[in-house]
Amino acid sequence: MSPAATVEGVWRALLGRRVAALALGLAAVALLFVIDLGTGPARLSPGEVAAALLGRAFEPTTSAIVWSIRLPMAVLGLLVGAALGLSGAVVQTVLANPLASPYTLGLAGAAGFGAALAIVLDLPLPVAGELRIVLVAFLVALFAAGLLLLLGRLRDGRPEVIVLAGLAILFLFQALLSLLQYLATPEALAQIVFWLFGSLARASWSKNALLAVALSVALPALLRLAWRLSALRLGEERAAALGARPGALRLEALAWVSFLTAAAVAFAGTIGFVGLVAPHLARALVGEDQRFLLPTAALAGAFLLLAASIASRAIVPGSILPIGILTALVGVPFLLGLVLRRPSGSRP
Amino acid sequence: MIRVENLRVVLAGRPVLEGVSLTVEAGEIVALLGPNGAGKSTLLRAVAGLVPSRGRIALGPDGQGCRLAFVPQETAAPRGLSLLEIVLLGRLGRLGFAVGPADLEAAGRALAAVGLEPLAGREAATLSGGQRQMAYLAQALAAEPEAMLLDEPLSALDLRHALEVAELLRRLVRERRLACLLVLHDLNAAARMADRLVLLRDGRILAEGPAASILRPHNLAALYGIEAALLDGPDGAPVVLPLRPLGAGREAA
Repeated sequence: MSPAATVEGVWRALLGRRVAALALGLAAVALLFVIDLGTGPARLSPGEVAAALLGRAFEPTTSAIVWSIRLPMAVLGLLVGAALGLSGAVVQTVLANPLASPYTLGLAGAAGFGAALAIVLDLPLPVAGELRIVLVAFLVALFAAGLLLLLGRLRDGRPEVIVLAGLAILFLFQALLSLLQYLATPEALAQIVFWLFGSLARASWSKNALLAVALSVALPALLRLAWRLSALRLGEERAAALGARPGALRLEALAWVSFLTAAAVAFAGTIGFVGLVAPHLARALVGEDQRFLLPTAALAGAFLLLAASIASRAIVPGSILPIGILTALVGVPFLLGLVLRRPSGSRP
Repeated sequence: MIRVENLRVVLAGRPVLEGVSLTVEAGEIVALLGPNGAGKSTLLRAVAGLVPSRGRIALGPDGQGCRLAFVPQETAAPRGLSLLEIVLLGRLGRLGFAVGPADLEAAGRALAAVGLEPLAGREAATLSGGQRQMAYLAQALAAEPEAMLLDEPLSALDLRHALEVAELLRRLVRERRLACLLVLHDLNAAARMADRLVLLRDGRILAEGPAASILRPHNLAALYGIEAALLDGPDGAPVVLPLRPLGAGREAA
């Protein structure tokens, strides 16, 4: 066999495995999505849920529960999980750090402060109610992202600078948040604490549409960088030698991630752990070819968040726990499993 | 062809290269020799455009640029990438989102050239250090370069593989008319492999020319601060036998 024929066979086999893993992820997410729709305090049977989805519900309340509560929540879970999983994979790749997550960049702290600011102060804004909080949280997170990228740019986008700048931003906004909490009225304080827990209960179709747009812009933009991101996994110098321009690449990728994370956190609050664990799960499935890793990490994020969402309704029957509490409980077993199956002495 | 004129590189306020000029013709191997910190790797990085420099760097026959592959010394590979993907990344500038037949063909040829084709599907992290060094050489070849910069291409190889890679490089450089500038620590390998040697000390060129005229006791004393004996090798290339650091007494040695 000629070298080209052998190599083509190897390549086909490799692609086949990765496409299969991606399809598996997609099927798992679809399954959890359906289970999520069927879970909740209202105890609807699968038949009732299906009938409501098809517009044939016997009772209007069933239709309202499915269309106005469960479906928007499930879709928000899907989108936020995908955004956090995708962002986590990119952050871990560009910072060459398996412990990094979207929150390493300090943006969650900034969004939390923004939300608290909107809750405590009566800011003159063109939007009212819940969307005010989302808008201010998003804007403050974007401001923090701008600060982070500016600091990173001053030092050629070096990873250690970005990690330190992210930490500084996180502590800065945490301190400002504490100050607001200290000054807030008891009612506002309760509202802030609930917001910080992270929850899908604030879901609405308008929010879902906005987040879907953010994701559908950011994912192709990041996929366009996929080969350069894969090259970055070979180390800074080799990536530079291959023409990946690591500094510029890192800043561009982080700009997209900041945008996505800011949107996800602004809509759903601080939901930890998904952005950390989902990329590891995806990596175990498809390896480091970022053309496959990025979409798989998005699927893994959606999978984890939907699993947490189901657990949040199943643990205490008749009530819904804030999902931010559940993601860690659901994510820890996955993380431990990955730690235990990794052969010792290998690079992360 | 690689032509460097009056190159000056300053890193962190410290001059690392000063007034360096050299030429590597197509089909020629030039080896950079010198002690640690002499600026050898920096010279490769400057030619690759990875560190800012002053002076003139011209690549290609007309100086208008050419496809250049730079192979750094580091041979680590991450988990989760196959050897084939590592080699394909050598074509980073030309890869579309989907890998085309031309890319696979070039990768196949590169893998066959270094003899790693049977391992194409293996995870690169599970290869030995020497195999990874060959893998990165294949990555450079997949770019179908006209000029190559290699930083210590033999450092992770055992004796047999070092000889094989040296022979492979000589053959590729001749056949494909590559201009090849490499950094070596092994003086004897450099003498047998390179057409010309360039001795670099404290960021300046101390001497350059064919091995026989360059590997002389006074040059080795000036370059490394050692006393060395020179023997005639079986294939005509001089063989360097390092004896002792300069200044150390015979009794002490």
